[in-house]
Amino acid sequence: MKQITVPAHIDGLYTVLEFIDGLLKEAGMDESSRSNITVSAEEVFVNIVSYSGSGEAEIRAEIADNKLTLEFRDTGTPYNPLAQKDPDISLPAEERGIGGLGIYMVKNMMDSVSYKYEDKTNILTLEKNLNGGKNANK
Amino acid sequence: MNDKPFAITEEERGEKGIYFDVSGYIDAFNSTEFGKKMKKALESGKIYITVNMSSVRFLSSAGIRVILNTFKLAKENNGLFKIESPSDNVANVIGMVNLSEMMS
Repeated sequence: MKQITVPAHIDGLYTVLEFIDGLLKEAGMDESSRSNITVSAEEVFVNIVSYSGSGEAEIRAEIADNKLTLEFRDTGTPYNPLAQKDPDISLPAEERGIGGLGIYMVKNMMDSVSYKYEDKTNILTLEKNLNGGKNANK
Repeated sequence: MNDKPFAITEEERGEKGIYFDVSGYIDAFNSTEFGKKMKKALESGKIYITVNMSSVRFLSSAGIRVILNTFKLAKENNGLFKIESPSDNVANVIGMVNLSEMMS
């Protein structure tokens, strides 16, 4: 398990993305496969920056048995992004709201997304099977 | 912090049309610049907006919000917003949020 701690500020975004992308590159993933995961990481990190009020965010990452696990931890306001209602994507574009898209995309791009609040810490865990899972070849 | 590459070029297409070529990363940072360009085009009366995204490597929800806003504003002004030649990454994300109607 590798981890980094960054300020929960938008300036920390690229540090987070490069940390995760580096791990995926080491695992030999191509750019297209990596992109779905780094887009998801951006969505989650930007959510923390926008809503948690925490000074820092910690990101833990691991690839084991062909499964990627990303854990985003912050000690800010308890906030479960998964409680947000999915956007209604059946509406025509001109009637769409712009909220909730990010987390909706994360749920689609990853195989599993879960939230818990433990020890005064928001913990959002993203999992993706790197072989044969949902969107494995995307 | 290493900036991720992002570039946007524009070309007028008649009185009400404009063509953009975007490349690189449309992420939480760069979507601000992307949004400004779209807003400026609309404010100057360009309501037929085409954006070539063949060289866009990364598109997050921040970029999709710009696309959605621009689409709505163009349409309100009886114009049209289109994404031309999306890269695989762009097509994947746009398809995921069911906005494929914007791609040509």
